[in-house]
Amino acid sequence: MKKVKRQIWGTKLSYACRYSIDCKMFGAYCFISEIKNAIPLLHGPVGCAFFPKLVPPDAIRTNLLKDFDPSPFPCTDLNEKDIIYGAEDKLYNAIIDADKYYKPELIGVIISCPAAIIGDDVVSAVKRAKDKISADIIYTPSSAGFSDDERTDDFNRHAEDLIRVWKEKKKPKWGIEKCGRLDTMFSVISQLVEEPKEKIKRSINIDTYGRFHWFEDLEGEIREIKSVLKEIGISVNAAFPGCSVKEIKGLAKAELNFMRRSERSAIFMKEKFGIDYIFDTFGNRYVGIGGAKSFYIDIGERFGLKEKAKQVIGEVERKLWNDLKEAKKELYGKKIAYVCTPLYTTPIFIKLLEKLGLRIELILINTLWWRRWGMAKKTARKVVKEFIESLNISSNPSIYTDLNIDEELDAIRQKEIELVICDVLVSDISRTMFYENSGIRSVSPHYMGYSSFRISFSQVKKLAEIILSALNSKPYKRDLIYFKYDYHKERFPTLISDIPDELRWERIMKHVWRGKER
Amino acid sequence: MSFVDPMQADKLLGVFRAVSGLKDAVVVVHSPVGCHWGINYIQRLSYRKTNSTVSALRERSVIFGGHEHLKKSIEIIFKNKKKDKYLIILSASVPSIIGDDIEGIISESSVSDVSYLVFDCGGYKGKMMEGYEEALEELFPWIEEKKKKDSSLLVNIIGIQRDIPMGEANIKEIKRMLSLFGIKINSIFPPERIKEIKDASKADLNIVFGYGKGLAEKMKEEFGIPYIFFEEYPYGISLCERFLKKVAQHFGISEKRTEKVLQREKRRILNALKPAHMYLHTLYDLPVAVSGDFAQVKGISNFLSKELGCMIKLVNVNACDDFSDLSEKVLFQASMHEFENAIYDVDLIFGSETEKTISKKMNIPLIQFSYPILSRIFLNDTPYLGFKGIPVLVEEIINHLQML
Repeated sequence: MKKVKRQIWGTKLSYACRYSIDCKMFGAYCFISEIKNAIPLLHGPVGCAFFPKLVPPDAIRTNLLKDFDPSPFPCTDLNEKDIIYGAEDKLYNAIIDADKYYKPELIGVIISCPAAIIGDDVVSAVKRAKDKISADIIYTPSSAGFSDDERTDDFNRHAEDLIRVWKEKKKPKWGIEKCGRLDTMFSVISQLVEEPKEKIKRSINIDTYGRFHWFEDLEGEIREIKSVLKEIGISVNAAFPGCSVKEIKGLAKAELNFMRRSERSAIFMKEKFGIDYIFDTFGNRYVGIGGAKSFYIDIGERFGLKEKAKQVIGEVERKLWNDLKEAKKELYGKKIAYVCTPLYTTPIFIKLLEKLGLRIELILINTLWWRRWGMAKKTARKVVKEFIESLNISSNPSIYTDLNIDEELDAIRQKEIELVICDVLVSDISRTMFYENSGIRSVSPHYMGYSSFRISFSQVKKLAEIILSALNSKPYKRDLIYFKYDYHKERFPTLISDIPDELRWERIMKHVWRGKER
Repeated sequence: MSFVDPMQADKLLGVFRAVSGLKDAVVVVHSPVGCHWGINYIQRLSYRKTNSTVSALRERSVIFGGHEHLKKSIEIIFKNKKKDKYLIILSASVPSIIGDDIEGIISESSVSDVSYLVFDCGGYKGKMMEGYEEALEELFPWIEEKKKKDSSLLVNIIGIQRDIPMGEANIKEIKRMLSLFGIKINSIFPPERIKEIKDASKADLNIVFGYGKGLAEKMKEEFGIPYIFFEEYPYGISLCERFLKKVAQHFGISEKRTEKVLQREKRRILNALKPAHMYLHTLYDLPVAVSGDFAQVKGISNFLSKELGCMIKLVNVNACDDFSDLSEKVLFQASMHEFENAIYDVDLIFGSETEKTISKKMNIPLIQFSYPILSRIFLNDTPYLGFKGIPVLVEEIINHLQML
């Protein structure tokens, strides 16, 4: 996908969603849309089925299924009469007709808030329709927008998890199991996966994920995993979603699951089909070069191929460093500043920058994203302290927390930084523009197609290329119109005129949605 | 088929469109987060800054009621506000079914001195333009009885959608056209300020375009303000002429003066169009499909068919009417699949964001003139409506056709 397209999609989404948040029903729609030839069918009013089609399609749909349009979203068009008398038959008929019209391989029946409240017997409608249609069918029992959603939990739990991952290298406890996407993943797996006639020896299923991360090379990651595992002697049975219905039905043919999002689904398959699993939220144990090595060795070990895995990985790594030889020479000793909101993978990413030869002179930590999501200031300070302690790097950078944008610039200038690497989640491009408009080279690796969350050796090569290209870029003297507006210095790039709306939204999220007392 | 792949939204979005642009009234969507997310997403990308938030109902609200959530939301919104507290609550599907007592919740809250309106707009209760119509009417209680202080001719414009392509430019053009007779605009509905609502009774006449007839009726009853109703938006020469003639006639402006003004306007437009004359005959019999809300579809179809000579093969519209002298085929509240299947041998679509996928799939150029519109921005005063809109539309059509 062209950079400009993903940039426009991302900009539109983040602008439109600044003072609102999506619901489980939308997550369910997204998940079903990530399966080839699947059609989501909403048991609900037209309004719920109208807007999802106007949102850019998920990254898995675009990057893996190569479908750049949102899925159709047929619905049962619930009306007042249906609310009073029920609409089970209406759903039954809609399933039959959707099967005839769209000829899908899978129909995913999604339950809306009104349908959940009136208690329509969705299971009965699905069961009745099942034998009369060509497609497979599943339903989502808890996709109503009001249903239990872990995003409403205290965001301070995220802090505990970050610390646990950084210090103890343990997996986070706070999952996202109950979000709409993963709830639906569980529904799909528990209702669709079939008992296999035979197992495929030494085979694995890989759970990928994409959300709206169009910048991530999902395809490249899967290609690399398949290729390295093949050399070790392990085949990938399915990389899902982003695959066919047949592949999902055949998930139980594999001997091992690698799950990055839903441990519940992994446990289900272990209990029902005896498939062992490795679970790692967003693969955070397996990122960076060391992480990728562990990934293959851990998998190899499960199949009694640990030594072979070590040998293969050794070759892959040798080749990587060989490929990076010239780039490393050029990168060596370059003074960089790293501006970040620390995430699970951040310490590993910083080490990777050092491994590429860069000298980290300055780390600017920004906690605004955490706090906007409801993390207490005190907790954010604690996380920063732990983050700094967990950094085990040879550079000796100056570290500052929550400087305003002008102070950031002053600190960068004082250190005579050659390149600023931005990794602040929501404002990377604006920050990059800001530094470059002030005469300092800057780059956002994520924006350029690198992802620190992907299990990949080739991503490291890509990172080196991105940084090198930024360091060698021609500096243009600019006076950008973008900066002719009044920004809030601490909440950059929020315009001062938008601050009241932003604060109101944060209070609603904290005190109403998450239900904390004021 | 017993399913609908919707091409229009429900009542909640209709009401939200009509009221969420009020800069000095806060809209609270009383619902789980997703209802607000969806409508806010569309509206903000339709180039309208919304002044809204949500009561963020959760599973517990369905069991115990949503009063705590709504009460807290209202208290947060008005925490430091001493006066001019205006609140609009849109009660979405969940509270509508469980029966939350909204008025009771407001009176129990610490901001009971707020002026408020409540809309029962569960998604299952109706379609988008029904909500839009109802919302305009229900703004009536906020209109105050006021008398204008001078002899100027004042009108209210009701029903012109601000959030459609060229929405603001359309309004400016209506304003310009009225000014040709010395008529000024008093208030516009949907309004942007509470003052516009309060002052609406100062007008001598309400001009209703498509939506807001109920509001005009109430103003007629309560304040004696007459109204003129146009079922379609004034696209093209004939509808502009009809619009201005009716208004001029209402204000007793002589036919001679009216004709003089209209002739001048027509001359200007024909001059502006002259460089495109070499292309105009290529539009004759051009097969077109039109999809959108009734007032727009009717108006644009009239222009395309009767003034450019296009062949309207298909219209998809949200209200029933006789289109027999305009279009070969009419769909009423069609599902996406019905619309797609009905498009045959068409070279141009007039529609909205909703038709974008079909346009891409069938490789037919799309001119987005109707709601919603999420992939174009509008910064310039180039209307689609009114006399000035005519060359803009012709330009759009010819340029789009050449992109094939």
